[in-house]
Amino acid sequence: MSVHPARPPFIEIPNRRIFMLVVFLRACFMCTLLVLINHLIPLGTSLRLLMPAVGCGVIVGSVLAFSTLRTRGFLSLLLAAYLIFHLLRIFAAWIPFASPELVLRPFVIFEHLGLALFAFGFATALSWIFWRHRQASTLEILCLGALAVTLLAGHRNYNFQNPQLLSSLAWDFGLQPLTALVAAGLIILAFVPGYLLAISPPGRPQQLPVGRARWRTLLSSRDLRAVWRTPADNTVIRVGDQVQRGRPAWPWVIALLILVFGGIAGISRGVFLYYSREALSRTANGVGQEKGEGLSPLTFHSALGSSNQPAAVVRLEGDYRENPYSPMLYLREGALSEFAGNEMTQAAREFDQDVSGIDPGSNYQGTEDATLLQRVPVVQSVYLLTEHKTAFTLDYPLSINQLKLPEDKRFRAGYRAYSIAPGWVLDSIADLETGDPRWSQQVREHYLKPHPDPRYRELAEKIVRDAPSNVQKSGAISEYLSKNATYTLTPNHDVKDGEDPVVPFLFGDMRGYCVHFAHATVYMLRALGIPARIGTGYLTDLSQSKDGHILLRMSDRHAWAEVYVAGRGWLPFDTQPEKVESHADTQIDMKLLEELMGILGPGEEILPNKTIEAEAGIEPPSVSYLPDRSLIYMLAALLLILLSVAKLYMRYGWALTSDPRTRLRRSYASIVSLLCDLGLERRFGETREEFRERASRRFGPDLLRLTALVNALKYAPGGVTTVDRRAVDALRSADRKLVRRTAKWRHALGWFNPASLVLIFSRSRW
Amino acid sequence: MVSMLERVAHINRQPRAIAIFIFLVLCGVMRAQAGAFVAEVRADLRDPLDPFAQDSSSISTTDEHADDNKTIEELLWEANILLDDQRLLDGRSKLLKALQRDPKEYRTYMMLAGYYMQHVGHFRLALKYTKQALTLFEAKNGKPPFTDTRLRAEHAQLLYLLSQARLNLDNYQGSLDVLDEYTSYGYYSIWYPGTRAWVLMKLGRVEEAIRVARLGALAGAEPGRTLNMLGILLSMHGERESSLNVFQDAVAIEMSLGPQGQPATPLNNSGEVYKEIFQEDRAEAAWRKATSLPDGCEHVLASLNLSLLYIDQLRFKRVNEVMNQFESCVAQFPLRNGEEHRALESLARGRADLHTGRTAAAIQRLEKAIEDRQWFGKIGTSAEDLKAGAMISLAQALRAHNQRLINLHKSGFFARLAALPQRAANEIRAAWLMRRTRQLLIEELSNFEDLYVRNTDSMLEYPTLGEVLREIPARILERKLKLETAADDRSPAKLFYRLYLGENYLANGRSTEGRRLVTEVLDSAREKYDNLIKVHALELLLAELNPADGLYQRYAEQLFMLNRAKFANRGLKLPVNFDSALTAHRDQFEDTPFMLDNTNRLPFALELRKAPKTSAGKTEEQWILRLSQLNASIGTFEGRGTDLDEAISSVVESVFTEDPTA
Repeated sequence: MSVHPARPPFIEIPNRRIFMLVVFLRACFMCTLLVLINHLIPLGTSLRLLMPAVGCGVIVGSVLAFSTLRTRGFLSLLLAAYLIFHLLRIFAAWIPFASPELVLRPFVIFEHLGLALFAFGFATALSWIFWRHRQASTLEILCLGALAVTLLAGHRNYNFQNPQLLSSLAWDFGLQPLTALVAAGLIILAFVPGYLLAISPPGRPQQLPVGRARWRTLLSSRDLRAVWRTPADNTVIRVGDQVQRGRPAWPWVIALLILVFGGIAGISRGVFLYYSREALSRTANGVGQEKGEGLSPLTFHSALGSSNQPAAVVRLEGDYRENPYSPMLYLREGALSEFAGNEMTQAAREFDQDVSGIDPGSNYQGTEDATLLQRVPVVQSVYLLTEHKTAFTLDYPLSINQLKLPEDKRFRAGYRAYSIAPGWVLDSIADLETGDPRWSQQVREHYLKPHPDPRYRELAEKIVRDAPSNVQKSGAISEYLSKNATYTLTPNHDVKDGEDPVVPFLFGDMRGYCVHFAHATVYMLRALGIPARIGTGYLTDLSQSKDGHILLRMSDRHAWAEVYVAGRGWLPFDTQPEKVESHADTQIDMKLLEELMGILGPGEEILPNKTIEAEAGIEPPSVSYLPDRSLIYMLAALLLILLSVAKLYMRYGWALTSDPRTRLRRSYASIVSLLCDLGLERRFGETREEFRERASRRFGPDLLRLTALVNALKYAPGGVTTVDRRAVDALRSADRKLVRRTAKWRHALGWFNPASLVLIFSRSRW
Repeated sequence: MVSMLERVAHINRQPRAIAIFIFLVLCGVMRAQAGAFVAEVRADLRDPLDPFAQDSSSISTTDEHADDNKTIEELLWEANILLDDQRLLDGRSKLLKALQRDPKEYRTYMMLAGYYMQHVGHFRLALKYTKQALTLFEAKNGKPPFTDTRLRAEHAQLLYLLSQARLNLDNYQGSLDVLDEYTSYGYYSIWYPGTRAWVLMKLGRVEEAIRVARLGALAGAEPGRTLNMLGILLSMHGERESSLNVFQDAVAIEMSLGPQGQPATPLNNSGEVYKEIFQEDRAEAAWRKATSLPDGCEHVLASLNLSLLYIDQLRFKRVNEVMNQFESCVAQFPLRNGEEHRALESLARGRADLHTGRTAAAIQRLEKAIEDRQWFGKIGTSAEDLKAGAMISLAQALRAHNQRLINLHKSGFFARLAALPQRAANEIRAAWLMRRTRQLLIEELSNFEDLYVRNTDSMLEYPTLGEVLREIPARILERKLKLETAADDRSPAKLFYRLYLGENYLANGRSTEGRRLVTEVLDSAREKYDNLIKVHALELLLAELNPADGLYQRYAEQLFMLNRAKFANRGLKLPVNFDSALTAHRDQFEDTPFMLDNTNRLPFALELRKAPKTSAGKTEEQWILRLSQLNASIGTFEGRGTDLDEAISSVVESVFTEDPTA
C-alpha cells in the first residue's frame, strides 16, 4: 500500500497562534484601510457592513490558502459566490413589493450587499495571494504605501493643515501640523520595512515554541531574524538551542525603540524648524519673518509655492466702512526702508516708528500723530495659529494689548490692536504732497536713498511723463507694473551673489512675485524723489470673511510699496498684476473658519456647550446608508442558516451517499467535527492515531476506533476495496455514545462554533 | 418652490421684526427704569426723520474705555441702534461687552441670537444663545405662564427665536413643539400662521398646513408671505391652478408695497408651478420678470430656474446671458462671499458646457458645484438635491470627456495608451458617482421622490435622468414607474417615464421594446420645449442602430441639427460623403466622429484641399478639411493643419464643439 500526499506541499500553518495573530493583524489593517478609503472617497455603504465583510474575507482567504484548494478551485468559489449573489439579486427583483416605500428596497439592499461582497471577495483574494505567493507581500506593501501617500497627499502645495484629520489631532496635542505630518510619514516609512520583515516569507515563524516560551525565544535572540528564518536544512529552531545561548536582546530592543521614536521626533522637529526658519519665506510668497536692523524678510529666489496653512484669525471688533481698499485689507507687520545695495532691509529703530515691531507676546503703546487726517479708529483682535516674530495690525497701531487665549492649544498668541486706519477716498489724495515737512534732512535722505543703477530713473521718468503730482506718479508706476509684468512664484532668474535681483525682473522678462514688484516700485519712486519703502505683512480679502472674522493663510503674506503722503501717512501703492501665471486664488476653508469662530466665541463659562447637547440636528448625522436594522438581522439570519446547513452537512452528510467507503469517511468526519465543536480538535503535526488516543482519554475509549481504516482509505484508496457495513455502524454508534455522554448545553454551544467548518475545506484535518 | 419665499419670509422680514421687537422690549425695560412715559412713546415710535433722535454716529465704538461706565441697558440700547443702522460688527461688539459685563443677563443672549440668525446665518450659535437666554430667563422669572405683559412678550420672543433656530437646523418636530408651546400660553403674532404652515409642510402634513395658511391669510397675517406659503402648499397638494391664483394675489400685494415689497419670490414660485405643468412659456415669462426686479436679480434661484429651462430647450446662448446678468447683479454687493449661489451657478454653467461639448470645463465647474459650500438657509432645495443633480451631470461629463479623448485627439497607439489611465479613472469615477447618486436619491431623498418629473426643488436634469436608472433591474423600475404614472396626471410627463423605461430596456438587452419606446418618445416630443429629450432619445437610438442604415442617417441629421456636440460626447458617427482626395486617408478617420461613406447620397460632405501658407517668410503646404451641408442651413466648418491629422483634429473640434455665446 503506497501512500502519497493527498494535497500539494503548500505552506503549512506553522503555528496556530502566530497564524491567528497575523490574520488578526491583517484584518485590522485592512479595516483601517477601509476606514481611510471611506474618508477619502465616501463609500456610501455603512462601515458596519463593510468591515465585517473585509474581516471575514481575510479569515476565509487565509483559511482557504492552507486548504487543499487549488487556485482554479478558489477562483471558482469566488465566481460561484458572485453568481449566487447575482441570482439572488434577480430573484429579489421579482418580489412584488407594491408600496412606494418598498419598491426600491431590494435594489438598495443589493447595492450595499454587492459592495460588501466585493470587499469580501477582494480581501479573500488578497489573503489567498498573500499566503500562497511570497511576492504578494511586497505588492501588498506597495499598495499600502501608495494608499498612505494618497491619504497624506493633501498636504502638497504646502497645505500643511491637510489632511484635516491629522492636523486636528496635531492641534489637540499642541503640535504643529507639519510636525505631525513628518512624524506620520516617518512612522509609515519605518512601519513598511518592519511589516515587510514580519510578513515576508523568510520571516514566517516556523514551528516556534508556543506560549511564553516563544516570547522568551524572541527576546533572548541576538539576531531576531534568526528566529523567524527557516534554516536551510529545515531544522526547527527550538528553545534551548543556540538561540537561547545568546545574551538577552530585550535591552537592545528597548534601546532601538527609543532610538527610533527619538529619531522620528528629532527629524520632525528639525523639519519644522527648517521650515519655519529657512523655508517659511519661500512658502509664503517670498515674505518671511526676519526682523532686526539690516535684515530683510524678503527673498528673491523662486518661491516654493503658496501655502494655505492657516496663520491667524483676525476679528474686526467694529465696522470699517471707510476702508479705501475695500474689500482688500492690508495688515502691516514690518517696513523695509534701508537700501542695502541690492535689496531693501529694515532700518534702525529711529525710522519707521509707525510700525510696532514688537513680538506678539508683548504690549505696545504708540503715540498718536495728530497731523494725520481722515483716519478712523479700528479695533482688531488677532489670534495667531503659527509662530510669528512680529505683531501685525492695521495701519497704524496706537496700542497692542495681550488677550487671554481660548482653551485651545492651537492658538499661539492673541492680542487686541487699536489702530488709526485710513479713512479717505483714494481720489481725494491725488494732489497731496509726498513726504513729511517735519522730517530732518537725515530722515528725508533715508527714505529717498536711490538705487545707483540709472536705468531705474530712466524707466521711471518714461512711465510718469504725463503725471502732474507725486501721488499720481506713484499710481502710474504701480499701474505700469500691473499691466506689463507677470505674477509668478517661479521667475527662475539666474542671479549671482552681489547682483541686483530686480534687474532680471524689471529690465528682463518682467516675471516675478510681490517681492520683485515692491522693490521695483520703490526703486523707481525713490529715483523720482518720492519717499518710499516696502511694507510687509498680510493682504486679505474681506469678502471671504464671516461675521468680521478673517482667516489669514500663509498665501496671504505679502510685500507692497508704500509712499508717505503728507497729512495721511504711509500709504500702500500696490500692484495688481493683470497677468498671473501662478498663485491660484483659493477659497478660504469656511468650515475651519467657523470652527475657529466657535472657539473664539464667549468662553465655556459664559456659554456652555451643553446648552444644545440634547438638540436634534446639531451634530451631523452619522454616515450610515443602511436602510434599517432589518438588514443586519437578515444578514445574521442568513449567516446562521449557512452555518446550520454546513453543520448539518458535516454531521449527517454520511446519510446522503450509499457508497460504504464514502459513508465511512463522512461518518468519521462527522464525529471529528463533533469533537471539534466540543473543543477537541486535531493539532498540527498530530497523526490520526495520536488524536485518537487523546480523544479516547477525554471522551472514553475507542471513540475513533476505525482510524486505521480511514487512514488507509485516504492514503491508499486503491488498497481498500471493500468496507464492512459494520464499520460504519460502529462509528455511528460511537457518535451516539459521544452525544449521550456530553452535556446538552455543550452541544448547543458547539453548534455555533465555526471551528468545525474548517474541516469542510481541509480534508487533512480530519 | 421653496425658493425665495423664505428669503422674504424668514431671512429678511422676520429678522427685522425681531430687531424691532427686541428694540421695543428694550424700550420697555428702559421705560420701567426711567418712568418717563412721554419719552417711551417717542422711543416706541422712532421717526427716521426726527432730528432729535439718537443715531449711531453719536455712539462711540472704538474707544476701549468709553463703555467702562455704561450700564447693561445702555450697552444694549446702543447695540440695538447700531444693528438697526447696519453697523453690525459695532453692534456685535457692544453685545459681547454687555455679555462679559453680566453673563447672567438673558436679554444680551436674546439679542445675540437675533443677530446670528438674521445677519450671520450661524444658526447653531443662534440656537445656543437662545437656549441660554431661555434658561436664564426662567431662572430669573420662574416658569411660564406669566401674567406680566413684558414677561409674556419676552417669553414669546424667545420661543419664536427657538422655533426659528430649530427650523433652520432642520429640526422640524422640535420647531413645531415650540410653536405648540407658544400657542399654549395664548401668544399670537402675525408671523405665526406662515411659520406654522411651513413647519407642517416640512413634516409632510400638507393638508393641515393649508388649513393654517388659509386661516392666516383670512386673518390678514403678513398677507404677501402667507399667500406665498399657501401657494406653495396648494401646488404641493396638486391644486396647481389654485396655487397660481394665490401667487398672483401675492405678487399684487408685494408690488403694492413698493420698494419694501418682494414680488420676485411669488413670481419665481409661480414659474416653478408653470414649469411643473409644462407651460414653459409662462414659466419663462415669470422668471424673466423675477430676474428683472431688484429683489429677484440678486438671488440665484430665479436665474438658475431660467437657465435650467433654457438648457432643456438647448438655448445655450440664453443660459450664458442669464448667468452673466446674475453675476453682474451680485457684483453690486462686494461683501457677499457667494456662499448662497456659487455652487448653483457652477451647476448651470457646467451643464451648459457639457451639452456644448466643452467637457473639460464642464468637469471643473461641476466639481466646484459639488465641493462648494452652498447656503440653503430655508430654501426647499437641499444640499442633497444639489449634490444628486451635480453628481449625475459630472458622471455624464466624465463619460463624455472620455469619448472626446478618443475622438478629438490625435490617433495612434501611443496617444491612446497615454490617455488610457485618465479614461479608466474617469470611467470608474463616473460609475461610482452614478452609484452614489442612486443611493442618495433613494435613501436620502424620500425613496426617489424626485422621479416625479420636474419635482419642485429638484436639481436633476430630467431628460437625461434615464442614465441613472439603467442599473436598476427592469422589473423594479417598471413597478416604480407604474406607481409614478398612476399618481401623475400630467400627460407630457408620461414622455419622460417612457424614455426612462426605454433606456433601461436598451441597457438590459431588451432592444426591441426599448427602441419602440424611445422611438415613441422621439415622435411625440414637442418642438422647442422638449429639445433635450429629443436629443437624448436620438443618442439612444443612434447607439443602437447600424451607421449604414438609412434610419441612422436620418436620425444623425436630426441630432446634428439639434446638438451636434453630442456626436463627440457619445462616440457616435456622423455619416458624410467625402471627396476623392480623401479616399487614400480613410483609415485616419476611424477614431473620429465622422463616418466616410460614398455609397449613399448624404446631407453632409467632407472635402480636402491643400493650400500654400506663408509664415515667417517660409511657405509650406496646409491641409484644409471642410464639412459642408447640402441645404447649408448651418453653414460650413473648416479645420486646418500642417498635416492631415492636425486638420482632422481641427475640423472635429470645430464641428463638434458648440459656441454657447453664438
